[in-house]
Amino acid sequence: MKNPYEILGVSENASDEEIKKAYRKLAKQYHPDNYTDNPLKDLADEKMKEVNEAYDTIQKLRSSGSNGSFNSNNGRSGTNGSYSGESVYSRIRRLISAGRIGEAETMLNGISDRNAEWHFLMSLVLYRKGWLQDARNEINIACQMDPYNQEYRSFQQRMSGGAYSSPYSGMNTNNAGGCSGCDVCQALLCADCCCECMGGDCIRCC
Amino acid sequence: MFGYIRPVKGELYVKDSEFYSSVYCGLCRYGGKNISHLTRWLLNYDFVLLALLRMKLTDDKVCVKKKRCPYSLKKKNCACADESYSFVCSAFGLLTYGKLLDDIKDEKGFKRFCKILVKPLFKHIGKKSDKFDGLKGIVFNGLKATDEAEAQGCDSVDRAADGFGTMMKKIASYGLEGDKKMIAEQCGYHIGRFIYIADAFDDLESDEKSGNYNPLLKKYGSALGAMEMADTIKETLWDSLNAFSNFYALAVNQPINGIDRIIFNIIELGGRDAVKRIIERKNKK
Repeated sequence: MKNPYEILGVSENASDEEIKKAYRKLAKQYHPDNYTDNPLKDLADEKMKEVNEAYDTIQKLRSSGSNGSFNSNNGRSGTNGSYSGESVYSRIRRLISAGRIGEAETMLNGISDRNAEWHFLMSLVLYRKGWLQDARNEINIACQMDPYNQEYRSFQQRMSGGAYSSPYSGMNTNNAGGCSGCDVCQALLCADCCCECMGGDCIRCC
Repeated sequence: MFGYIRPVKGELYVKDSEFYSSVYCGLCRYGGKNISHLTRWLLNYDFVLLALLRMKLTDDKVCVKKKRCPYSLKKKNCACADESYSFVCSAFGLLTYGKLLDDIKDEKGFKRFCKILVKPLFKHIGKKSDKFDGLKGIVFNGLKATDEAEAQGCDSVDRAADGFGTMMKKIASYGLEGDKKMIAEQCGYHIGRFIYIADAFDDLESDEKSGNYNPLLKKYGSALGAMEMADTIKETLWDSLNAFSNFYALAVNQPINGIDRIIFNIIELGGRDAVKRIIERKNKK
């Protein structure tokens, strides 16, 4: 296990307050809400988990009175990474999250029965490789094979969008900042429906 | 091949726009002083983006000072970030030299003759730029991989762009570790992929006339066929910009600072503008 102090970016002599501050800053940065429908969600989740574990470990070390210092042998030593109970696709997902793209691609190429999940995972692998035209083709196939899968749809949409934290996000979508004639009509009809519900009438003819 | 990605200054804060200009000045000045005066004339916007990315990811200390420009003779704001500049100028020098050697190998006639004439100047740039261990290997191997894909006549746009993308990925992430390395790798790859495909798209007609390799001509048969698929090409170029933006966002802390705003502007607005400009130019023809 990595040194929890290093994960939080503080020294071992840091005060409880400093540790709490560093933890809050990182938790805010990697919070899952910032990565909803984001293809990097797995990575952010992984980071969030790491930060939480590091904070818990420091709390435990300090409350047990062991001077708060971390010995790398204290870390989990019994995890051999056995995935016996997992399906092959969950193993591939884990590999992708861990950034082991080459291994994930080799495993995917070894599967002959190619369902929607296969095409989705292949699309993730190609996305991480940077082969975006092929990644888009694969995600389109996955969405055609399983049109109601929300995960595939969100990834397909996320490929077409930039970062949420960008000050320019939304400026490049087709309806960014604009208001077409259709939008105006739609808004008026909605306003009319609302008025009618309340007993009034915004547009008399309908 | 370079110079596609620049900011849309109208959408930047005045202070950010001034900072961008000062980084351009700083890079130009550093290259002129430490590599060759020729780099001042060859410098382009893509390397300013690379310098900004390196400044951000290496936490380089940046200060802005007033310095006199020897060409315009005016005093201008000049951002100092020697560590990033030194690396970016070296990468730029090696790439320029490598590209010239490539052109001499591939081109014929008068153009080739002119390039042979200027080769000693570029050799000097290449020599002065060879300051970082392994960087020369990264650049020359990257250009070789691109050449190999071209020699094989590969018809996959992704595969053809991979050599150049991988080279930019290794340049951007040179000397970085951990998450920052991963972010730099992805951002670098997508800068390279974008430049390679945008350049291929821009050169469709000239490559068709001269018979040079172009992955888009291979894939869609002709320049006209590729133009019919302009939306697909635009989509894949925008996908690269989106991927850059998504990975870069992992390095951003709230509230975002000037460098972040400039980089997001260059990627989300400037890159798209470049694609639109190419399409408009082609439609006029």
